[in-house]
Amino acid sequence: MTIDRAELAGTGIAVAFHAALIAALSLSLARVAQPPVPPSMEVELIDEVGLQSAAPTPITTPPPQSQAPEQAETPPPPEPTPIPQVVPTPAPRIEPAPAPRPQPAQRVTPPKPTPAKPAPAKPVAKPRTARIGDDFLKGIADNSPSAAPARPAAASVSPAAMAGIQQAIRRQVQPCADRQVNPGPGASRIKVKLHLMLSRSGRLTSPPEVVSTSGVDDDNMRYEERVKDLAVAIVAGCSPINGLPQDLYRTANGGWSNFNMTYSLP
Amino acid sequence: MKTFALLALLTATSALAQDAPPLEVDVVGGTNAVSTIAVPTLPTPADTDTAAGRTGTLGRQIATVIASDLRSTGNFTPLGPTGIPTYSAAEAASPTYATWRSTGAAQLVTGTVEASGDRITVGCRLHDVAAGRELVRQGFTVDAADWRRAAHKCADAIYSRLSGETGFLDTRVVYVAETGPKTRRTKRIAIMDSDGSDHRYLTAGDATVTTPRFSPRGDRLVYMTAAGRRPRVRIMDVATGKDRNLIPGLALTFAPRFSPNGGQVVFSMASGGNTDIYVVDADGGAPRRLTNVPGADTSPSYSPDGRRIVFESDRSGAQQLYVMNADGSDQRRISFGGGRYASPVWSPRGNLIAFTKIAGPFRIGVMSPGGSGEKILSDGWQDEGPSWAPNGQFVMFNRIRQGSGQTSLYAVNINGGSPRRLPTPQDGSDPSWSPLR
Repeated sequence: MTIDRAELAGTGIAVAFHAALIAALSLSLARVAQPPVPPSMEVELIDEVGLQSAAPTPITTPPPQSQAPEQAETPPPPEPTPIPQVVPTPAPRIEPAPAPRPQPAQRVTPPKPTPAKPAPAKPVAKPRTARIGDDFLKGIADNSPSAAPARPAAASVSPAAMAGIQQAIRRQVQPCADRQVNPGPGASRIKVKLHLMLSRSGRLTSPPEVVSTSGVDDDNMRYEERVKDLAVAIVAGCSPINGLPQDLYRTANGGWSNFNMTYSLP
Repeated sequence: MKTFALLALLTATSALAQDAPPLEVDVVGGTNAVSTIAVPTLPTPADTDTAAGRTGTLGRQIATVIASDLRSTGNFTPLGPTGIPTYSAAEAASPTYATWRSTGAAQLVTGTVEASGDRITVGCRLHDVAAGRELVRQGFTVDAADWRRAAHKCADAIYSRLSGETGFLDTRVVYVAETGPKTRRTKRIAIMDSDGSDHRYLTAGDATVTTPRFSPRGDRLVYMTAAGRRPRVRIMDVATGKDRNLIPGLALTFAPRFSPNGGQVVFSMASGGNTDIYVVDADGGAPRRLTNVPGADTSPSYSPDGRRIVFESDRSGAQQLYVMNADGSDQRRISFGGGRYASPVWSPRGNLIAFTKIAGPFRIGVMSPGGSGEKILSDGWQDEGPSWAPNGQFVMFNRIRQGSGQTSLYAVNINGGSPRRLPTPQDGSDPSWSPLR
């Protein structure tokens, strides 16, 4: 058996190519990209639950009144960065994008609401990231410090949540109710129903309206006006009503934005 | 485009929420304690001289009377006029409620005193301090010398607004003022404001007098005098002091009282060993007999509609209360409790009859016109002679102290509470409350 020259050359070439392939694989030139591993989710088990809410859970968008430019103006330490040359007092801002601002307008992190200072409306021209104006936002937002713009409205209020709100309201007005002086015998048969409208901060947005009275008869009719007075005084004396869940302020099947309070003496 | 979409979404959400039935909250609460009310000095825009003093001084005096009136109702604990903040005349309409909340007052009385010639105008406002709103706004123009009446009117407006009852503070009281030892008492008819001020005598004291009663308009009195040792009913014009016998002749008449329209007087007359009830026109005429049962029928009192009369009679062997129609028909006994019942008076509201119950001690009580619901209001040794306030919420009577025999006037709320003594210069008995002026 003889090996001709051509066969020898072919074998040599093949060996050379195999050696090159082995070398390439060894140097990871042919590595295939791995799919990214998703981050693990942390789960925490707790025993206590709060008012049941039907809110669509997580917050993905910032609340309307906290837009990036406004946010940039209200960090807790207001003037930490030097504004070297100009007067320290409210200087008219002319530059649309002042240089010293540390945060760019394109921040992607959710803005932090600062309850202590609810974004004062300044008439200065400022860059905006939204096309909806300030007035519109004010129309739907509660600018009071106690408003908690953290969660969007729930789709509906569950009966349990409704009962919780009723209890919370009753608990807060009860001290004022207990102070009202019974005008006379028979007055306790009178029930006065008031319709009340609250802002998100729990304050009355309009004077209480007497919807109806019941239990009035010939013997106690002289007390009717007085019991109405007492009902109004209870609400006026014990508002604002604090601590009500913001997401249940107004939902498709009700909320605490407006409610009826029926008052009677014991 | 995005804006419009957001607007539409918000509108739809809002509409949905408004369609939902409102949350319902029931609240029950209250107290039977008295209400604390601040009555600071009434300021004056200009301190002016008047016949009753300077307006600045009157402002303090008027506030003092208002506070005293309100305290006398038993419904309030007044604060002031001293020891509490003051305010300017300009602030009377819109006081700083936070200031008054800090005093602990539930209500606040503000106002002003302004002079105009011989007259003054007293502004009177009541505020609910907790609610921060005005409840009463009235003004009274009176002669400067009558400043107390303006104060009473203001107090009545406040009491009425806060209690639901009609006022009774701008009223007068007639009563029998008694002086001297038990065996030789001098008894005179006296008249005063219901707070004891503006006191004067209407009779001289040369004859014993009893049972003075106001007419429904308060301009006349009927009373009994024992001049000449014969009891006689006389009728007097309060303004002039002129009086005359109700019945001419020598008839023995006593226990008079006006009808609700003032046109008649119902009284007792003793004749032929029997005492019966009669009625006569207040301007004169022949008396008409209403009862003719053997026994003593006396102390008649009309119902406020004038259709019935309550009286006491011993026809059953002991004093008891009876009701009859105004023409004397349908006489029925209504008192069946233990003891005796005397001096009944029908309430101005028609729902109650006040009486003296004699069961050991003498006590003041009330019952329904049908005799049910008897309730004793006083607890003295000898309380008698009830008279209703014009609003039907208070009963005045006289209380005789055991031992000393001293007699004083007291008033008690029919809803309960301790009787309150009315100040009188001498001993007092047989009170009669005037109608509201």
